[in-house]
Amino acid sequence: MAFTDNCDLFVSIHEEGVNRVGRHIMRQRPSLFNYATPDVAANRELWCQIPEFTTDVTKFGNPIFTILPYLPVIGADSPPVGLGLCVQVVHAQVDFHPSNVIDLPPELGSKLNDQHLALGLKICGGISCPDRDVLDAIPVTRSNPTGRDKPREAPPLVPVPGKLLCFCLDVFATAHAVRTFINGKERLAGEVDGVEIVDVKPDGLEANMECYIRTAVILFLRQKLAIPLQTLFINFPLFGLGTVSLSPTPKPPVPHNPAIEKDQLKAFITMTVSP
Amino acid sequence: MSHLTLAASEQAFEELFKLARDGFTFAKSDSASFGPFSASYSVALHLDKGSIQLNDDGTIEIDTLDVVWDTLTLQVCFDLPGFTIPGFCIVPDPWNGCLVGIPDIPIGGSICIPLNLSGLVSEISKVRARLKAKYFIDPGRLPGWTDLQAEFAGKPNKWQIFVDSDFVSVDPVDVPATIGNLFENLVEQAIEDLLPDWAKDLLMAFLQPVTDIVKAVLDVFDSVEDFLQDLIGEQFDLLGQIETVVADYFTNKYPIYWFEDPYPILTDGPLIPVKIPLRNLNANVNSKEMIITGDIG
Repeated sequence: MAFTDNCDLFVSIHEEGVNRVGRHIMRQRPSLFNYATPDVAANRELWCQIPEFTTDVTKFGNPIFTILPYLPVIGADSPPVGLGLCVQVVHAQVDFHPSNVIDLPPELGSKLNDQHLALGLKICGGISCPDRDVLDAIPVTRSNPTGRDKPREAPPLVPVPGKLLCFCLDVFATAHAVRTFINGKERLAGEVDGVEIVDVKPDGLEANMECYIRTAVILFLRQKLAIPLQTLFINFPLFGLGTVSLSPTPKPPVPHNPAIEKDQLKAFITMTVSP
Repeated sequence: MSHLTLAASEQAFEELFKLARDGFTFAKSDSASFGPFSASYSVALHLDKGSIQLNDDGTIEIDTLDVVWDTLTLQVCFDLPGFTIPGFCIVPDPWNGCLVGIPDIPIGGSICIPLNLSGLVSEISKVRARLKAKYFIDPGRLPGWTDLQAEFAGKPNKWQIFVDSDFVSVDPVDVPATIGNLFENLVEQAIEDLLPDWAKDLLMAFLQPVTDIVKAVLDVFDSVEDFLQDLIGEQFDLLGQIETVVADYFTNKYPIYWFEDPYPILTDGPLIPVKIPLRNLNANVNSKEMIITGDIG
């Protein structure tokens, strides 16, 4: 059977290729995977993991960390106090159906369903924990109760230094591939079906963390890793040609487009040539 | 299994081929001396039409590819051997001699015959080729550059896929029979131009044997069409040149598919693009499609 029996252009990428692409992205665009407050980002002694990155990243002034605001300490407003933090995705892996790269936890069904993919992440992070001496050295300023005097400008947030208490979580997600229009361009994106964090108790904490991570993964896939179909075809010359229009092959004749099968992600394109 | 597989149906491959075909142009001018005569030409041509067949043995056959001669002008120059049209008497003297006569008229000198065959269409009857993936390292790339610096300097390495031609057969130019008459008319006109005005009408009857002399000078044994066909195809070797430039164009000059290596992704925004290296690229065809495979480095 030919690849193009039911279409004119076909592309497939094997999970091993996708994982290699993922490693290249992590090394060349580290700020997509490493997040920290300014004090942590500036001090590599505080990083939970030292990420690998290419020399071009620093040579061209690209950041290693995406800068996050300080974590506000509740109850402290005179002055407000913030803690440093760091979140790093230190390992990411994809497994296309059938399961043979990632051992899914039972909560996600252990084995992938047809046309699904698994995502395995190792996420490390921590909050900086200030010494008592540091906290005692923060002068208490006059508070500004609401509704009494004319509101004054809020005093600036005081970041407090401390050593990061790093921990790591194994996160698993299952997803399927969809075609979606983003900014007027048809793209291939992952749509998350389930998320599981291993060994977090109590259950309520786990559920909240899973919700946060699920939200982050959904938005990350949509905002950062939605691939234009043209990119998947590596700039094939027929894209953008005036006399040729290309569109995803419908179902039927292709049962799934995009398809996830035999450890590969596949896409099918039909061509129409105008005279 | 390869990390990446890309396939294009025969119809899609045909569209790729059309892009390559339409990018081909060839223009040249030259002149040469061939003993009794000299000639010069100016040509400009492009390719059109052609049918494609992909085969299971990995070969691509392109048949009946038109060569459209947008410009095909020739000029044939020669020295007409000097001879004399003998004088003769128009009004004889009844007693003796001639009352009114035409004196001897010498004819000879350099004659050039311009021919414009622009618009002719000939044919490349067969091109047989295979796909070939080549890795191009930009010669302008400095040794210390990273891939990113090379990209920013506009000198990235590239993977290129060519239609590597191993056989190109160009058919002779089929010069139409009307050119023979045109040529003879032009020769007559050129010789007529050598005659004094007052004698033209009277001497036109003598021109037929002169045209035969011209044909002998040019070695036109059979027909003028054959002479011109031989001049274009063999003497100037334009057919051989077309075979060479067409093969070189498809094999080395115009890749039907190319992309940077490493291939840039995530190119939007202020940060540097992510470059994905592609290795072990291979391109092949079978009777149904073109298949390109490669690995992520």
